[in-house]
Amino acid sequence: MMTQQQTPLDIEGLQEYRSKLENNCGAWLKAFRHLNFDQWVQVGIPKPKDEEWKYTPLADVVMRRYQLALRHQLIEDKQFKNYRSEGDINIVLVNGVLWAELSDLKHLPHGLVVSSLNEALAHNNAEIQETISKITPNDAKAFLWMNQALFLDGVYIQVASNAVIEPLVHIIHVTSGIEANTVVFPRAFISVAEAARVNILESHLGFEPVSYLSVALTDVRVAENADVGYCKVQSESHQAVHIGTTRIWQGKASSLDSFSFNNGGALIRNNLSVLIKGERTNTVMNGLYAIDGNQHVDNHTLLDIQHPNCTGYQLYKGLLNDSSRAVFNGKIYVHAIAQNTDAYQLNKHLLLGSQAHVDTKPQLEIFADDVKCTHGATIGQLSEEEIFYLQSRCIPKHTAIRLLSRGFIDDIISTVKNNSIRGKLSRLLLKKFPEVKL
Amino acid sequence: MSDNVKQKELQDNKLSGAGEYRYGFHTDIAEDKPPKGLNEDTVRLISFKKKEPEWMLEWRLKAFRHWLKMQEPTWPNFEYGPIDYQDIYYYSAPKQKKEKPASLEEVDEELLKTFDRLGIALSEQKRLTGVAVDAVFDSISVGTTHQGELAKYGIIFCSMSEAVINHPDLVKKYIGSVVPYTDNFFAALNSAVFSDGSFCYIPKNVRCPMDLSTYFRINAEDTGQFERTLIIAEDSSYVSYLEGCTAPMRDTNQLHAAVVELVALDNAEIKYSTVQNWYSGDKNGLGGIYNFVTKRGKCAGLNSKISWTQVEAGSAITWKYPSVILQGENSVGKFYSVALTNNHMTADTGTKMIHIGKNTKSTIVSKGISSDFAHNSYRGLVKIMPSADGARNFSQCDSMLVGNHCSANTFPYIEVKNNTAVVEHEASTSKINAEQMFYLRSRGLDLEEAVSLIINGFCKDVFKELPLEFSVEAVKLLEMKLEGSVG
Repeated sequence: MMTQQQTPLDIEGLQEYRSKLENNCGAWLKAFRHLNFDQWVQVGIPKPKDEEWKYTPLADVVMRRYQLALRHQLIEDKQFKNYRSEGDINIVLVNGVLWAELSDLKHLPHGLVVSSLNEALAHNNAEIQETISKITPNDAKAFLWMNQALFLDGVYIQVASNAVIEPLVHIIHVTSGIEANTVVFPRAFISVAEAARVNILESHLGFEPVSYLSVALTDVRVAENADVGYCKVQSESHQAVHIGTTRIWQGKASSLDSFSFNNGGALIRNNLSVLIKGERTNTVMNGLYAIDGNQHVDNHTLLDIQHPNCTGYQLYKGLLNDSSRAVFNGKIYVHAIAQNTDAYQLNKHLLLGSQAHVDTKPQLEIFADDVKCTHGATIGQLSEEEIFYLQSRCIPKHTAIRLLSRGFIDDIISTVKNNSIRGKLSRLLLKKFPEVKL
Repeated sequence: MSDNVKQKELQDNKLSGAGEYRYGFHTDIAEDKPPKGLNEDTVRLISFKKKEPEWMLEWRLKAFRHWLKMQEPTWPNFEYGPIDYQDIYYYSAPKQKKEKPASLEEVDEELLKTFDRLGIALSEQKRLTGVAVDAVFDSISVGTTHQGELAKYGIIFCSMSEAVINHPDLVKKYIGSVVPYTDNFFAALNSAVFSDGSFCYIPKNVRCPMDLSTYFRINAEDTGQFERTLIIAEDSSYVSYLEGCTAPMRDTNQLHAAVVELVALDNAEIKYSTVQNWYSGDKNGLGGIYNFVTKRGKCAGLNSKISWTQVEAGSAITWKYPSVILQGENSVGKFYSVALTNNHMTADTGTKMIHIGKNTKSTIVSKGISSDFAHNSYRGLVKIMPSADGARNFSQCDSMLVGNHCSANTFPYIEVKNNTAVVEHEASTSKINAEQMFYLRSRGLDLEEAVSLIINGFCKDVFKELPLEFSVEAVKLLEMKLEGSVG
């Protein structure tokens, strides 16, 4: 028996798991996993003193003893089937492992390659190696390193240059058939080549009422002139902890339309970094969180503009019921060279719950003088007058409140261009907004 | 003696290019300066020099012992050279012929002249009728004007040292009640070694008939200035208080760590205005004052109001967050700020609005202008506690960048723990619009006039909150600072 190394999280059978992982991979990946593991151990789990984690305490997360997912099997499939749509290219990963039988991998359109990440790494794909070795300025490094050290498998998606992929590419991460307090590592790598166009939806789902920790990592490379729609849906089980990192690199004259949707999980942290690596890019970073009960959702976003003539628009909306808590930290960083930047950031909250809390920090750091950057944040309630207006039209008060808050949300849902995604988001919101009956 | 001053002035002008920093002269005056260094004996000595009662010394020592346990904060968005707290004179008083001048007429002529040059007339004939001044020179207050007139209304306006001796009950009750010595590193240091400052007490139902003001002057080398100001406004009273400050030009950084506490009781209103023009260092960022100040007001009563208005145009580093604790129901907190940074200056300033009482309201308007190699950050906190039903906040922070080596940052923290609160925050960063410039220049304004006009417009929301004479001074100050930085 090897002596157990003290790790930041207590995970049962970690030593054997790591040896198994390292035996099954090439030399580069083995060294890479080792390096990341050491860094993770060194840094540990962020403490509340850490400015980036000030409002999201992880004490509960650290206290538990975790297990690793041993079976990769989809147990609950009715809700899962309801969620996926036939017209999309569905790619299903169960507990981090690509599940070919549930995925539509046979008739992929021309220009689209989908494979398991392990397979892609086995071929010593230089692009992946180079990209994942980078460290981005956004925080959550502990969990980034944890994922890179311990991910079992993942999905690799490549869109060839000039390819236009019409159907939605839907990556579905399902956590299923696990014991309580299991830790999973969903992983995806997406590479979109020059002038290609694609719409990607990445969903994190969990249907069983069991607690687990999901440490997710997604990398997206957007090459020159490419046009990418990327949406992340987080609808984990209501006892789950989800700590996800998404890193996006944008090349010259590329467009990114991103959306982040959150309505599941007990404790959620999303780190989204978009790094602008070329001139004349367009970036949209929108998001919505509709939460209730004791849910806690923390969104940290970074738009790092390193080149001139770029635009960046960000709108995040939050609907908070009961005693839910939301944290938003949006940073726009404009380097001295990034002249003519036009950036806009807005964070709006609607507090319906009497115990709901919001901690928001929209942040601008600007080093270039010829720029136009604004940001704003609002926190408020529904206006009494609007409710009264509806009541005076014979609409009961609770229906009026539902109508008005649905209106608050629809405004941002309508910015999602892809119909299939929009349909799914509306369906997910149904749970919170049962059909309005007059 | 006055030749001495003149010579120094000539020298300074030669050094700096005339007009760059008008207040950069040094007054040659004998100083009573105990040796450098900080330990319990220093604290005891300061207390002894001021003939303080036992309880004050005890309080200072408690603060000092607490300070020893504290770490210097590392979170700000700037770096400053390590401060050697043992290499500072903690007390420096100009030696006067009489130990304690009975009236302003007996104050050393040299000192009066110095303040005259700074535009602060202390002598009976020249002084402005509308403003009472407390003049603080290094570690001591050299004189306070209009005391007699104010006493008729029951208003106490004197130096902190006098207050500790003459009004111990009031001082004991309120000192540290808004900024406890445990608050932060520099507040603890100040509590241990504070030397002077102003004390104002406005009794019930009195509307202070004139503006009260304090002028702070750092003169001696290698000193730190640690003043402490305490303003108490009793029920239904009103006071407007002004603060100004300057220092000589030197190559080394000097520390200024002040604490200001305001207490407003039921229906009282305090208006606090600052024009801060400490020496900001030379073109290469050498020297200047570290202005690390803790300012906080407490709206303790119903309907009380506190407003902070500041024009931050000096200091190598400004690091302060004038705050308001909105404890009383319906109380109102306001913060208006213009922070102008040029050369290598840094400003990390903003405010904290802590809403505790019901229906409390706060307004924040902050304007930052950054040019040359300067860094300007707005850092603010709006906190709505669960008890603050119906709280309301509006914040607006605008930044303007002039040149491409400077930066402007905004770090607004908004923490809302009550769902009936309404909070709005907006911020923008922009440069001087080329079209506006073209428009003004096509009407015959030269480059600098046009810039000055635009900047004035940009800061108007804040300037209009300043008392008249300050407002004029602030506009001039801004123009002078921005001279030559646009082109």
